[in-house]
Amino acid sequence: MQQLEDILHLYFNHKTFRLGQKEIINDIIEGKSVLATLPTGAGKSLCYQLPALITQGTVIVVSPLLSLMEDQVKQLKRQGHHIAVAINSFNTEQERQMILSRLSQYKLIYLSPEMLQNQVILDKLQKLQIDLFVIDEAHCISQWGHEFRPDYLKLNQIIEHFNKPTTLALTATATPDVQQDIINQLPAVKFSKHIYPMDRSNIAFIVEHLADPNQKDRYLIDLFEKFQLPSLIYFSSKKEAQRVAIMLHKQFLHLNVAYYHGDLDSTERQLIQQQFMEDQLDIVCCTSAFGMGVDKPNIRLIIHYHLPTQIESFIQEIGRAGRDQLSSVSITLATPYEHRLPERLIDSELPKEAVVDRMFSYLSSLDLSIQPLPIKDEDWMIQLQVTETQWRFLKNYLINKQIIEHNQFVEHKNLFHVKKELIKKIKQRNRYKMKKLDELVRWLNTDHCRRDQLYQSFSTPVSKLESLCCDQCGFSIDQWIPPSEANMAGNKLAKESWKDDLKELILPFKYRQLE
Amino acid sequence: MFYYLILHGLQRIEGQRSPAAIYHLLQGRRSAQTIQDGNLYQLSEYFACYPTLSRADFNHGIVQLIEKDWIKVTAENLVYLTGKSHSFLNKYSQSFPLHYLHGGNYARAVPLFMKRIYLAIQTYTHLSVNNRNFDPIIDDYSVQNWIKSHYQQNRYQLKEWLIQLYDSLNGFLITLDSYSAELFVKRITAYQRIGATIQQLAWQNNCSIHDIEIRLMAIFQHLLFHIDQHHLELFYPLTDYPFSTNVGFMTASAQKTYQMLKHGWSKDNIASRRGLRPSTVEDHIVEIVYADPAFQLSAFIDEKSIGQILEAIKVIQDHKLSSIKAFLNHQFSYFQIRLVLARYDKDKKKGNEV
Repeated sequence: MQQLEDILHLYFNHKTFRLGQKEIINDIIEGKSVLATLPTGAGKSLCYQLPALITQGTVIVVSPLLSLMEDQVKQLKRQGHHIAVAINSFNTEQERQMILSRLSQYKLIYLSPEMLQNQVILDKLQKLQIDLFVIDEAHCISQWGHEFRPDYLKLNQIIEHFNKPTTLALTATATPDVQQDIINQLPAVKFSKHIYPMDRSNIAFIVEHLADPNQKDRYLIDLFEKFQLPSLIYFSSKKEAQRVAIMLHKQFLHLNVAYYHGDLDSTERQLIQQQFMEDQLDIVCCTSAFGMGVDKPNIRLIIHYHLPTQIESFIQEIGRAGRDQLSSVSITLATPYEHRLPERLIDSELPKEAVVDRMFSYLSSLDLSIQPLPIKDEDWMIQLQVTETQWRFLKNYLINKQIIEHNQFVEHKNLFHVKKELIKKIKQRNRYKMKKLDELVRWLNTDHCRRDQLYQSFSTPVSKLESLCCDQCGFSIDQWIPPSEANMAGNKLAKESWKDDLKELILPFKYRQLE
Repeated sequence: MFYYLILHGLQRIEGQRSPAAIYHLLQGRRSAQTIQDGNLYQLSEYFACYPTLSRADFNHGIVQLIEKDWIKVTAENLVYLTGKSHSFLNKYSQSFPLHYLHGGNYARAVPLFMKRIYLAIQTYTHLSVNNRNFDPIIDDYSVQNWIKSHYQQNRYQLKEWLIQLYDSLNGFLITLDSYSAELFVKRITAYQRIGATIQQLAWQNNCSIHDIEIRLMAIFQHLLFHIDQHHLELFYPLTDYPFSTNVGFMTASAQKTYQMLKHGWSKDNIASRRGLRPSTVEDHIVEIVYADPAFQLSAFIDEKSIGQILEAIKVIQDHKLSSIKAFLNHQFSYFQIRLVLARYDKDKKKGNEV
């Protein structure tokens, strides 16, 4: 067989593997299932894309990141590999029929988690020779994880259904707890573990303690007066992201600022992401909705205006800095009350006890033995006054307890017991989340090395840095000399007259310097 | 432009309707009531010029207008304008290009047309320099699929296509005010340049998101109108909607009637001149109304009567000519009722779905 490096060069035009890739791929080729944690931006996807090119059969990838899967299909196409396809809710019925009819032609099939509920698709897939089954973002299977996906709980059954193919579970962030949970949830698979350090040695950490929230804006203004670099500012509130973006826009008319959150329409979101990628934007004020699939190499500053709810999310967000391996800085703005906003978010994530009470007393007032009650999600959300997330949680629980079957409420003998258990579970989950938040809050107040402390619970090695480590190790933002080549947007958007602009835009083959 | 448009609309319905009537009109609600309002108060050009306007944003605008003493709303929910807004409307009557708005089928054709032209420009400018490395700015799968098939037909003359596009767009944009032309160009995404967001355009021009949304909509409606007037066939595939006259679908005899009507002939004169029975000419005219959404009915029926007939259709929930005629005490001829049905029947059906 060809050397793996030759294949890498031939298909992906890289000369060498990055940390961990080769070891993981070797195990897979030998038919060993792997649980791997690799830091963000370390080239996780290559670990299954390369095997897909050299194996006989098909590689199936389950991924919750729709845009990421679309990006990868596109990216492979650009590299000339017309071998990948994505099956998700974006497909039209017609497209899906077409994809399903020629399924065996693809080497790499991406599935979104909800497709795992679709028996027609599963039956079609089962007819293929599946050489590798990949679970991307595998931490989503863990109920303790920060991004739990109920659909992932079906994975073990599916792996058995597919006759236990070689399985690769990938994640960027997994504590030993979550790793164990992944293994427990997938008893059909015998994993060998590949755990790689998550530490990103080119990112320095600063926590800026401020007496009250009003000082945060002032801090940002001072910061951007000194450093005009591609930056992301994370918020937990859409309104605040918007407000600060407007404030910065007015303060720095020569910088290009934007805000980004889930309420913007899809074209606006696309434009902002792409402007940022193309160095047309300097500062994006965003919620956690931004970032998936944004692989901009030169983000220099990641600022947390608000705190996320746990360390895992924080690591994922700072991981967007410095993908080019050049020096970058993470700055967290902290006030004495910094825990309040995330606490409120956690509190509103799961339904309240009163809601559970109301739901069960209504259910027990019905006689479901005569006729089951069909469920319309919107009606229930209104009736119980819950958010979509809360309803999804409730519904999923009721499905597990066989109170909901085929989307209708059916008779159940032991409603009281189920209710007690559910309330207990909610309390337990909330406690756990508060504990996770507490970890992050403690990290803000630590007097040890922030790098050490941040990765402590992941039991992975951490770099020892002489300089540019963290504020506790003597780093301060004033002494930072950012990498010289920072592509700032400047006035790239503005042209003297629309006439020249139009000419250059529509007729690039005449008027543009080609790269 | 947002507030100007709202005030302008409120002025027309002053003392007669609630502010919500203007919301439905701007948003483009497909109901007989809204269409009738458009006709009755001569606001049909503004129909559907801001389809993404939320009720909350509109209400916020109305509250602003009340608080700043521009309008008063009575207990019966009728609107009255204050002297302040009358003078505002007078003062700025020439400042906003309301004449770019054409309403009706132009308005309805814009959203899809916009997506297609943006994606076509992004795609073809990249491919014209052999660059395949871009992400479509339009997520909509159906639009992406449309581009794929459009590309298949034009792949060997991409540069020619772009040159023609450039000429046509340039020819169109020079007819606009320079601010609108600039806005249009800044919004374009092409090779080596991602277009500006609505927010950015609002910031750059010290105005609101609503102002930009409406102006872009107006520019695009005017572009469709321009395409129509100048028979710019290059653009035809970019819009599915028969926003232009479908003269080709008419019978030859109806086409002849159409031409004569355009030259100012009356219905009866056409019949006698061509030796046709009057009812045949009436059939032609109904055919014309179906084919040409812009065809004026005013020579045959006035706005008020249209309103009455539409109201009757709504009340009796019946499209049978005889029922409508009887319900209205035989005030109107079958011909007049047929004209109204021809113009509004489609909308009525869609109105029921919404």
